[in-house]
Amino acid sequence: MKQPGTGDFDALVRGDRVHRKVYIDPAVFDLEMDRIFHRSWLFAGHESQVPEPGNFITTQLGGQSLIVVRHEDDIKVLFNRCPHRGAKICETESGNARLFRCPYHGWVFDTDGRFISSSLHDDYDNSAIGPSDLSVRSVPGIVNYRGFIFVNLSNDGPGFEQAIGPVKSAVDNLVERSPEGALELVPGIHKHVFPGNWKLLLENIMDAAHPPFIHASSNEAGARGRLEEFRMRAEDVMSGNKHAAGQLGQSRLRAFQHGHSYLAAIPIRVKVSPAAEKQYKAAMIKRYGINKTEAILGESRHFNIIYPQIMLQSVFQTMKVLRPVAVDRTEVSVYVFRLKGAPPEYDRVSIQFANATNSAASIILQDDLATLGNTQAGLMNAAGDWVLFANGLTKDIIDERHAWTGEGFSELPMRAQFSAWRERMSTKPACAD
Amino acid sequence: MPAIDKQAIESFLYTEARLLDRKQFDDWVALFAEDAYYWIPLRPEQSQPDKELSIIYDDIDMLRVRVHWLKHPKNHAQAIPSRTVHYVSNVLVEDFDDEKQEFRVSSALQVAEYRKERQTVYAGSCEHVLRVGNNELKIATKRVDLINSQATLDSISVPL
Repeated sequence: MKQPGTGDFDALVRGDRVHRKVYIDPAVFDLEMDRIFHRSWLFAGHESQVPEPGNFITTQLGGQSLIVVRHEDDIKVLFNRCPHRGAKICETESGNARLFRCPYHGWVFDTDGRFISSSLHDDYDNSAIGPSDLSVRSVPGIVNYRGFIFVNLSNDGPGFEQAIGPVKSAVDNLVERSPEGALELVPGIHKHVFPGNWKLLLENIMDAAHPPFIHASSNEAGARGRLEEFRMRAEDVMSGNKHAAGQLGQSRLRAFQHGHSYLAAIPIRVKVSPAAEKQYKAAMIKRYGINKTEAILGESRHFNIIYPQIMLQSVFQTMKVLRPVAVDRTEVSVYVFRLKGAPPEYDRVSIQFANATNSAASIILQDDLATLGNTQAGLMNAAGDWVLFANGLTKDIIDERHAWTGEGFSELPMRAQFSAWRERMSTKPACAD
Repeated sequence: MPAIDKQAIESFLYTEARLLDRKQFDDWVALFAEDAYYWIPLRPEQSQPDKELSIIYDDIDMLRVRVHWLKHPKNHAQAIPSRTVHYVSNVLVEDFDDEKQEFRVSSALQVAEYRKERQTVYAGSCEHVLRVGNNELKIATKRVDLINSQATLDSISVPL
């Protein structure tokens, strides 16, 4: 069979398989940065990270250094680059700033990036440079959706509402689990890296078939945890990944346009004391009424994917965000949210769960990371060019809203991800400004 | 003060290090008290493990689970086992709590790990709370503050 070229996306992606090139070719990776990550709505931070005017955090997205800063009552996202000679105007990870002063020549900017002063300013007055060129640039797209700051690094691609589509309900469900309808980031971010392509992680997250194999070690170890009343036992901590193959086989998958999906109907619950649960439910019913409370808490999605970057697990108040670094290297940040108005036990249990499942020393996560690394290495082999995801292909049901439903071990989410991938990769960006 | 001197404390820490390097993990866990915690905080000044994320915050149950996982034949992160050397130095006995019969001991820790053609070095400061009972020491808490705890980390599969 003739080998498909790097830019021949219709040949690289078929209905039930993709060519291994999409995981290992640096030229494909460069195009992905341009055509997917620079044109998608990406998570830049949560508003609770910058509660007061002047509060800022710095972050990296799509290869860009950004500053998320509260300017008066508004949240701005700036490119961390001085318009003068290009130095980063802010080096620290977080803090409070009245102004940003470039360390190189002392140019001064307001917290919205607006140019204020420079010792060299007089010399620039009569030049062709306009005042807006002297200011720090903001990202073209920014949306604060219920406290989640999403940014778009270009003006290109679909708008936020259209792009996020039905999977917006994942964010809604997380926010609504707070009896005050508000979240706050738990201090600390679990940050880890694995030697594999970013797409492998999104596939792994939605793959209900792998836990009995990959997680046999931690599941069998976890089953030995000792019982202790009203405390999340080791066994409970492990339950997020411990299901009989039969249970996993009954999962229900939904996939949408733009690559989003979720994996539902796997029984997972946070284990707290009856007293804390009673207090929490009373607070929820007071705010939402009994029917809506039951609907909010009854939702048992194991994971949601907001393609191409976010993996959200609202039951455990946890969100993973990926950052592709190279074709074979991906960084992941894991955030845990505190439910405002919920008993502290809910946060404690979520923190405990995150430490056990999502830290770099997690005995669950490490088996995943090792396997993603092994997969990347295996894909370097020229023997066998195709990666298969045909499971459930003939059983997927598509509805009038262009959403698919699959059952059990269906590889539907991978098909949906690559359908979106092919569409985005085939669309050349509009001319950059 | 009990009849345990600084030399005995140092010897205890060195023995712990050697158990880890020799992969005698069950013997290592046996050094911990039943109410013990093994803690690797995410933030250097961290004081509240229930309110902030930690790299590891294991009670004795989770520690036993971790060790069982380490020994499991289908552990993918240790399919090719690591070789390690734990270096313990700068040992200082900070204080002794008469009521609890506990020494607080600080030390410097370096762990060199070799696995799959790669050598990794972990470095940090360590604090052991060592409880005296029946004339022997048990670990009440072990806290390891890695100097790069807030960095983007590779898998940490071996106990530090």
